[in-house]
Amino acid sequence: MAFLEINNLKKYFHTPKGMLHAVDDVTLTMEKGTTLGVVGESGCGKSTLGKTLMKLHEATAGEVWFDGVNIVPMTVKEFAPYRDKIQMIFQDPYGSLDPRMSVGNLIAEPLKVNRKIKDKKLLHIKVEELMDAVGLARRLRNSYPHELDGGRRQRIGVARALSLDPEFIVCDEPVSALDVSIQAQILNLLQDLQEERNLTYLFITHDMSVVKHIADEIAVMYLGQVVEKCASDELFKNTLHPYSRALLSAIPIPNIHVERKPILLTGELSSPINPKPCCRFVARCPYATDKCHQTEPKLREVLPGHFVACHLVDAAGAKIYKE
Amino acid sequence: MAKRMTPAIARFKKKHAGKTIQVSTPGKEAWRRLRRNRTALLGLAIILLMLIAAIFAGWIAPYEYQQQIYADAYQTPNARHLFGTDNFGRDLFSRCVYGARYSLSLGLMCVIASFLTGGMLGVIAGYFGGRVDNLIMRFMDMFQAIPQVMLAISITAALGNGIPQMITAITVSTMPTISKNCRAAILNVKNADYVESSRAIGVGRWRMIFRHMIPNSVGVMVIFVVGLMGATINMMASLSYLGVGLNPPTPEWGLILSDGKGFFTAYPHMVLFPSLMILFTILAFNMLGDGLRDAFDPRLK
Repeated sequence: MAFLEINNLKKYFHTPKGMLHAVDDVTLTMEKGTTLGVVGESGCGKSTLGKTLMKLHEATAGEVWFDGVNIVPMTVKEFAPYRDKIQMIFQDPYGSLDPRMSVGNLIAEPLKVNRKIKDKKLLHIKVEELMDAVGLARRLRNSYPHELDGGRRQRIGVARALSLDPEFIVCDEPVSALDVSIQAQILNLLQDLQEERNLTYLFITHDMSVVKHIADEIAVMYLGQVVEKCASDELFKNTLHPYSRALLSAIPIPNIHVERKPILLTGELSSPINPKPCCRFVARCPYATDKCHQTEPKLREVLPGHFVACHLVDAAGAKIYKE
Repeated sequence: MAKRMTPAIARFKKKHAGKTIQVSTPGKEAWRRLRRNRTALLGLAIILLMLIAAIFAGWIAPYEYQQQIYADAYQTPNARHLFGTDNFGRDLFSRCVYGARYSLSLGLMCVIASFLTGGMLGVIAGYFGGRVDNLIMRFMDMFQAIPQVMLAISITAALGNGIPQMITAITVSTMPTISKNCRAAILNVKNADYVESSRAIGVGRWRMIFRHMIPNSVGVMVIFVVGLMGATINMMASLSYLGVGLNPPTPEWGLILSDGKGFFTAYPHMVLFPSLMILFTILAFNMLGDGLRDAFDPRLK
């Protein structure tokens, strides 16, 4: 069995207009020590997926098998021992740290509330170890988050997530709020930590260049569904889904002599509230056929390890649509 | 090359030789910022003065508060009676000094009582939301439908005059406002990212409320508490003035005011001094409240 298996996970929200399908029938598997990048535009349900895995949201349906146990039906109390193994790094390092707690207290908090270390001296030592591990100077122990820059704040977030010695970390856009130079530092830190501690990352981002840098596998999400999933190189070499193509074409090329032809999507994002039983991408897909309007494509393996949900890709992984 | 020292650095080194670096804690930081705020300091000074008067009333007051010296009745302020005397010849300065003891301690008790009841109900309503919220808030609406002073008067009318009765009356009548304020303060921080990130780390609901949400709304609550202290003292005075608070000869400011009201035209000092005591106390609490709000917010540094 895989390290992490997500089977048909659904998360719907009640809204006055109807059911909002934030995460709809997502099935993913991950191996230990790998990074799965989850990409997609705003509102496609990437963050909801991550938060549902952390049980910050109650899943509507589906299973999440972690180390052979299904965590979805667990109550908060039952989940507590697994929280040590599953942790999360949040997007906004400005908002996700309590402004009234010092750096030392912020890092010590997970250890305190989960009653890992009771002795004050040991706690002090552990906090310093964590600060060293994430590259925070020990003298910042008594500082407050608002006194630090974004990169240092995000290091606190990383230290908090690491403090319980997790095996799996959901990184919810951990660098999107940072400057580009700082982004690289944090990404390198995450990669180093992964190597050292054999961590498994679910890396949520909308930045294709970031995901290319860090992910082993990539899942492209659109309106709550995974439309394409394969190894990172494979996605960049052999992009099958029309949406993935559009997404990849948006990566800037740092060379003025290369002429870029970005695929510009027209049309509106269809509503995630009570979606019709058709391809979710149909309203913006330049190649949509009648079949796309009538039935919903299922995610299927067209090439070894390459999954795609599109009627216009045949069983052998060939594109039926013309570019 | 030897390091050159500029005179400024040399002076600094000389001054701080042998000293270790002081770590600043949030409390120290807040105090440092409060010290720069003159209005707040003035408020604090007045409150401290009142506190000293309250604690050491026995030493400060030249007479007993209930001591009647008929020969000295109706005296305007003079050297023997700083604030003059009333119609029974009681020394008004002594009465006002003893009055501080009643006003401050009762005010504090009322504030604590209403925070423990109304405040906690508001916090619970805000945190849990949904049905709990609805139940608590509709209950508070019921109380709020009756004007505050009316409510307090009816409660003391039902329970009778006296200290515990008055505390009950004031607590119940301030409960709706305090619970709504606390609820709003909690709602304000409920959806903050750090609440979610703390939840992800395994922080339970009570630690969340007491260690994250309340400390983060302390700014709002501090102004509110201190403002409430003023309002409570005001309310006590009003109730006593109306004759439904404490019993004479208790030297409560409102009661002294009430005793003096019949002689207002001839002897204005009988109402002037207790009024000034009430005025300065409430003003001081409001000034301190504003200062504390600024001092406690680490983002305003």
